[in-house]
Amino acid sequence: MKKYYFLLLVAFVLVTSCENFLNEVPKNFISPEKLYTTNAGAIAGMNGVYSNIAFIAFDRPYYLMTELSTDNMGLQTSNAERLALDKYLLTANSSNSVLRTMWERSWQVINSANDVIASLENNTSVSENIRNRILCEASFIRAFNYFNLVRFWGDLPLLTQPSKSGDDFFVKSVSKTEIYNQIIKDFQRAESLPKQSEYSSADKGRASQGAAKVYLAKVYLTLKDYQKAYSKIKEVTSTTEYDLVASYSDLFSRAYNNSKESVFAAQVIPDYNVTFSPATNFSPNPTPYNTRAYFNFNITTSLYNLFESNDIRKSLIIKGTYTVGSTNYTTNGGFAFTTKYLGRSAEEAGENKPAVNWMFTRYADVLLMLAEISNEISNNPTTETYVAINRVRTRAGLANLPIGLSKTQMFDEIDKERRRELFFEGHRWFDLVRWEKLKEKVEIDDPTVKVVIPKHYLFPLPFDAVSVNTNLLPNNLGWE
Amino acid sequence: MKKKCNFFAVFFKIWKSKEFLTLSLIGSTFLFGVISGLASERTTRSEKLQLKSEIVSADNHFSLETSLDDPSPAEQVKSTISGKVTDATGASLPGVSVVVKGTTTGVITDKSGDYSINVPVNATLQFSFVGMKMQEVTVGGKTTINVKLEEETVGIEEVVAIGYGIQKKSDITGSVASISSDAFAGKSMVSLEQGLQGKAAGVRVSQTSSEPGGNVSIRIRGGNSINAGNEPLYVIDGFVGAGNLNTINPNDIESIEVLKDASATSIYGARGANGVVLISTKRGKAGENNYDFTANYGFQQITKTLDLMNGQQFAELANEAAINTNNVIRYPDLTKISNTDWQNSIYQTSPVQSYSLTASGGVERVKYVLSSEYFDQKGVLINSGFNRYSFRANIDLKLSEKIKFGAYITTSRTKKSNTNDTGGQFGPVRYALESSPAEPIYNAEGNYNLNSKVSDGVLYNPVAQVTESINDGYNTRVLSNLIIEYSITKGLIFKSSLGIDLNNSKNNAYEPKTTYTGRTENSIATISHNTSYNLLNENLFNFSKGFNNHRIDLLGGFTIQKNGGEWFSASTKNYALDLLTYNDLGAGATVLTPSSGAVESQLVSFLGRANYVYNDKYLFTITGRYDGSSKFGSGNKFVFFPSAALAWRLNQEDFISNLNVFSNFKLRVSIGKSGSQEINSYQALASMVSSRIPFNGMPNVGFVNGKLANPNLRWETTAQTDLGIDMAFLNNRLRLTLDTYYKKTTDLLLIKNIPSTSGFTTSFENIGNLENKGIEFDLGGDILSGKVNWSSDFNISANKNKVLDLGPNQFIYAGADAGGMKLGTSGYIEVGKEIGQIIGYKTDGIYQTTDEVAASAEKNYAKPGSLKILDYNADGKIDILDRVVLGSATPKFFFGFTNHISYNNLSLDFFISGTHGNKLINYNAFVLSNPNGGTNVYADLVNRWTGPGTSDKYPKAGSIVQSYIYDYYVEDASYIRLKYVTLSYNLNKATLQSLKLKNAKLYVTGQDLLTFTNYSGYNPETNFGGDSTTSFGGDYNAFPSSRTVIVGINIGF
Repeated sequence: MKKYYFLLLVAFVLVTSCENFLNEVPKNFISPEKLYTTNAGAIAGMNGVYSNIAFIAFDRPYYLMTELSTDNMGLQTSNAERLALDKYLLTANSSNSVLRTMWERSWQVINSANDVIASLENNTSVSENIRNRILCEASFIRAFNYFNLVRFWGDLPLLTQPSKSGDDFFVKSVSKTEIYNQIIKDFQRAESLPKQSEYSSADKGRASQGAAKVYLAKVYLTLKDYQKAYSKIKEVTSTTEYDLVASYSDLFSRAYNNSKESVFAAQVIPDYNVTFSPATNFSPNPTPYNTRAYFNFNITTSLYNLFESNDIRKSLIIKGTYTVGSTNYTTNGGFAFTTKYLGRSAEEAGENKPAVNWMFTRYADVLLMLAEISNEISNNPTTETYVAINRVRTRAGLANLPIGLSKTQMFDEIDKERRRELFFEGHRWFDLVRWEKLKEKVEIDDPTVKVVIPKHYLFPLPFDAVSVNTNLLPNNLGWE
Repeated sequence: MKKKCNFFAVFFKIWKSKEFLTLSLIGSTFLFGVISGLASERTTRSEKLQLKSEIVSADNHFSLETSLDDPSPAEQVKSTISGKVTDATGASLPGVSVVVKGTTTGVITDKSGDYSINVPVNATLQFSFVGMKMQEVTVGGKTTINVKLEEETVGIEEVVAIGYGIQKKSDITGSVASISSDAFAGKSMVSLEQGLQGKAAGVRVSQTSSEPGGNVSIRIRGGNSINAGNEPLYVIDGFVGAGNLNTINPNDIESIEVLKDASATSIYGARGANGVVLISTKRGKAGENNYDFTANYGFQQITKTLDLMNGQQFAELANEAAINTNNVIRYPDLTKISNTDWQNSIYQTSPVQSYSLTASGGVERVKYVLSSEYFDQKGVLINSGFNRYSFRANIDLKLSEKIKFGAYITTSRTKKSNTNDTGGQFGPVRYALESSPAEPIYNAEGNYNLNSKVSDGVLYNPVAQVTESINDGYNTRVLSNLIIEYSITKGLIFKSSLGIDLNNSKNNAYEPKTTYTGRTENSIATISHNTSYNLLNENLFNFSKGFNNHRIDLLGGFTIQKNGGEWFSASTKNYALDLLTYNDLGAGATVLTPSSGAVESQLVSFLGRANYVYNDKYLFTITGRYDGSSKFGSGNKFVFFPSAALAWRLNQEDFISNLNVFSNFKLRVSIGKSGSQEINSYQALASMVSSRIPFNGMPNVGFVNGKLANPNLRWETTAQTDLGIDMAFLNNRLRLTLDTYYKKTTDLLLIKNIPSTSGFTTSFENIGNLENKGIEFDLGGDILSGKVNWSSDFNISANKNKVLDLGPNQFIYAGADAGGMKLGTSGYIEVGKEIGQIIGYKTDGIYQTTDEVAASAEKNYAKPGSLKILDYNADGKIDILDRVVLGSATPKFFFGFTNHISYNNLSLDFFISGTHGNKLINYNAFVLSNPNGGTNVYADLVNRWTGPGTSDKYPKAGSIVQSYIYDYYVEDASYIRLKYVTLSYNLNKATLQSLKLKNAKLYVTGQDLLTFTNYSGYNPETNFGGDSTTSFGGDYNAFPSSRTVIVGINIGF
């Protein structure tokens, strides 16, 4: 019988010495520690961060928060969540997926950027020039997301290290001053990035030196530090790195993606979910290229009426009767719709995907920022102010502004010009909050809406976020 | 960290490198050698031929009864004995084993039941035959011995399959339900699970989709887990983890056992917690060759269509809605509209047929079953269907008295056409309900009409969908298990098996330009391919011994299992021509991003069981399994699952047997643990997943953080206690089984919400626990016997589930979205409540006046004629805090009632099953009672709100109803269904003999003929979430249920 003990021995040996056999080697994804061991791996990790930026741009939340909640965009459908943004019906404990998605996705990008930075800092298996570039790119992306978040939500947790299993995720918020300090630090680091013109054609679309400078200027402008904003924006406008594209309409065609006017843009993604796409969500149905649109969002009457009849930019707007082939259609409810993101040909529109990049900022925005900053600094429009705004007007086919405008008159012109030039590009809500004109402008556009100040200068922290992590409470002022 | 590995370690390393087959064989052979060596040192006494009732089961290689001590037969005078063996009716019995007791000498009766054998004069002859009681006759100088064998009484002496073995039913200490092949014979069934419905207490079977080959969900004693799987473990002929029952020919089934309590399931350790279903296929018997042919042919028809608006009514509604919303009139000329009944245009009366031929028989050394089957079901939805070709060979080979081989080989090919399981977002079922009946099927040019005056001008023409779309799924499967059994010495058997389960499936889909999707995409084709393998090697020792009043049975062994799969999918679109459909992906001008992937997982296990019986009164079982799984965190790979059970056969005690009341009386109690590892591979690891991101139009790929690591991930454990009573009265004519149980599942594998500031919204952790408790009652009886026989079985079960703890959360949302409907809120799981509770808003009719609106919580957006949502917490606004519990998706109890009545050559079988107290969220009812003018609605909506006082039920045309769960469409889905009724006629003996047949039966069966339910949708059994625990109780465009009438014939020759 003793010999049967041999079998127990076999069992023992199997268990104790070969647990390795049960170790998992994943086959359809890469373990993080294996990714950042080569130049190619480091670049792939950074590319992953960019892919989420594209989702931020093309998914609905960004343009719903920045355009629908303003006097620019109207809602065609009756979806309660979007209605809440359009009509200022948000409540603190409503689980609005628009806010939630924006919040979650931004933090996802921040964590990925943190991961890239933590994995590459002092990592000598990646060559120095690649490493430094990627560290700057990741810093730019991190700052870019914190800048969105801090403007939407104010105080936030400040996280600069990637999340690991076992971490305490129940973090508390810090003041927005601390967040802005980190944003400025990160954008300043990103100023060491290559210029867009220095990138090879295959790398255009990555964060660049110019983008970092423009965003720094935007941050200073938002903080009303006009002097710093001015010197930073001048570093951009005093070079030939950027310029306006000759034709406004061309700018929104596939051939002009990453043109000289584009400063920082989310790159068009293939196979993008068509139902969310700004291309089909903004266009009347059918599109002028006879593809299907979902026409969820229209241009408000107040914005449409702002366009002078000879404004070239109206070529991207359709209102009332229009013709597709030989058939006549009427836009829904007689509203105005835009074809900005639909592409400029049937071929570009044929995919029903966003045909063109989403430009977070472009040179026209830079020029109008310069106009605004110089008008503020000098307490009066300067020549620089006129030159900047008139360049944008000239391309739109409008006459130069008359000389002798007061600061307020110039401000009103800048306001109108920004609306006409940059509508549906994700600037309006930021502008209105920066100018403290949210209540005035939104209520002029839609008198049934009641905007509460300062409550509506921030969005409520998403219910899903605060219900999981009560350390984020109290909610923003007025949303408690 | 490099560990020193010995000889076995090297084996495993190579095994990992895919040399599994070879090495397992070497491994088995090696062990075999070790055992043989050990055995050869022992004095081998003359082995007795253990010819007992051949129990057909996967694991009957193990001796059933313990061997008796050898009587050391001396050399004696011999004589020749001959005779005839017959059954109770006097019919001759061929193939009966006639063996001299205590020796291996034996013969088999011939065709006419005659035998002749040379035996010692003082010998005892044993006559045995399957299903008959063994008889012993002392020779005592006789020269002719005629024997009449009696049928074995079913019930108490039944033998049932248990994990890794078989056991006499009387010896069972755990809770095991046994279902015989009768449940499957004469039905036209796609899948075995359907035959299980209502047949065993505590086993809830729901056919969640009625489409051909549709999903069937099984819950044994409630669901244990929230985010891990809840389906039971399937064991087919000893192959553990062989699911996919669609591929199995139901005619091959001999019996199915369901293991329910911890004593029965803990031998399956980490996979046993959800219960185990053991499926045993038929095995050959020595004797005459038998051929069995079954043919079924029948028709199916949908049981109901919904009463919707006709073209005229809908056009009026659409116009009214347009006026109410300041829109263009949709149908300006009501005389020029169509009147299409979309439902009647896509459903048909469809045939179902199956043919099965089985040959079985053999001689003592080689026994076989060969079977083949063709099953073909056309769906009630045009062009849907399921078919199966299958072949099986079960071979038993006795090489010597010591060595036996068993092989089970089955191959099958199934095809599933144009079905999408549990109903879908874009399927024809949906569009037959929602499309405008005022639109024609074909346009003026005779092509499919794809334009509508409503719903954004889009008509997803369901007739075009069913007629033109292609969506065919093929699966080819080879499941085989080879078992070597070696009798080392008396009572000690070694068994080694090598099993392989290979599945290869491919799905072809094509949308031509004649369908709406095809027109949008300019035709699109998708091919996806999936291969998987599952390899299993088991090495087991079994030792049995009986002495005086003691019997022991020991089992021990180790098993290794490895499975994995690879998949691939590619899609192109933009086809100039629709001629080649999906067969040339290169013909599509636009190539979409392909996807592919692979997974693997491994399991090593050590298992053991001891059964001890004292005096046939007291029964003890101790079981344990030590499992190691690759799926868990590095520190938690291994875990031990023990169980113990005790049973007391009171009817063996004098004080009970003297009462002369009980023919069986057994008390059972068991306690133990089993586990669940039903999660995907790699859940413990952090991941970087690929993501496509172009720069400047150039394709580029990035890797982005997918999920957090959890090195602490470990098993989900279910501890269960079971208390059971088995009783039988009146010489087993009345049988009763009662079980009550309590299960507590801890370390739930839960997708936990974590603060999203981490960059992740969830992590997979072991958090929280829940309980299930229930009671099961099974009453069986032979109500009449004699000229008319009537036997009946009734079972009823109730299970109550409660979430005890969810870690830091008081509640979680766990449901999925379906078609934009806010199903997420259906998976609301809350501490202290049961899983399956449905929460939503209460409504209070329709707002009649502006004053009523102004006084309400919805004053900001509601209008007269809008649906009125109840401000439940009266805080002046409608938000998630106003939701209340609207019911539960889990039934309070469910039951099955089986009957068999026979009179002369006629027999009648009928079976009724049902559930009570469960609700279903009828999403279609939501859509169909919403008069937005874009989609069709119930005909009853002609009575919608048109002004104050006109309706308090249906809102105003064109009003907006938010997509939430409301009380009015959470419906009672209790039902009682006549699952089948079968009338059969057996040809009498004389006719059979003249036709040279052994038996012949003609029958007619009706399936699902009657359903009693208040549920307004197509089928109260459905669930769009299929097996999902968390997406429970939802009907969204589910395939309609159908009734089937089949005529069939079964011939034996």
